[in-house]
Amino acid sequence: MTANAVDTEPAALPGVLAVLADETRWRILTELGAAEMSASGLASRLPVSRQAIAKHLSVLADAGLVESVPAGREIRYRALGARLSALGTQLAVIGQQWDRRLLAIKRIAEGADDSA
Amino acid sequence: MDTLDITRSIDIAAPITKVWSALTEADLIAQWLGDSAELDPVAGGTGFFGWSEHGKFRVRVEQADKPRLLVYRWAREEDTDPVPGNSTTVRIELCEIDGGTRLALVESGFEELANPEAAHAENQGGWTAELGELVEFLTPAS
Repeated sequence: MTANAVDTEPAALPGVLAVLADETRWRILTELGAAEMSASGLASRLPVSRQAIAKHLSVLADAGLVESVPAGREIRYRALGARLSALGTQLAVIGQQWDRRLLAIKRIAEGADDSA
Repeated sequence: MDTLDITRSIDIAAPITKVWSALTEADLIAQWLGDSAELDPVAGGTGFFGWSEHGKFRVRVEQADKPRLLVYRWAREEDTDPVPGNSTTVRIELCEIDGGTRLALVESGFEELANPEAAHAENQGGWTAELGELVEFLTPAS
């Protein structure tokens, strides 16, 4: 980074955020983060139909946030860490960009008033 | 979803009008955001933030109440008009405090961004801890 480059390019944003912007999917992820579970298992713990849960699981799987694991006659699901970790990193980068920008704004506003 | 918002606040030892200038005058914007800028800081006004290496990213002002409130939608793709699905919204509120100005910023709308990626990640475990960190990051104590 050159001395003049106060700012960096806008961070690339993951579409996975759209997938996470749903309370039921968050809850499913939270449950699966604690333990592998089948769709029926999730349905018994959440106030959502098994059918709806299956749909959410499919969206989460497409986004790389969960994967299915055969367990005897049922299919269980488990949460995947790397995708979410990458997401957290990307959001952290955006937050850090704002930290730098706000400090620069502060410096500019507090600077000697030579505009008069 | 509120938890996906980025929220920041900073106290600045300068009058509110000077902070407003830093946020809205093109030559000053270019000192803290990218390296070139244009902005008409009135509701409906347009402009761009430019990075010589990455291109120009258009903005449209949604609300402006000089010198207290500035809300703009900011495209995430270069040379594209910002609309829901390709942009986020930045809301900056200024208020006078003892000795200066408090700036509160919220960037939101990340969940509206389209183009979900289908890339499948490897299971690296440790997911619960990572989720905790993510939530902590997304909802900073303030």
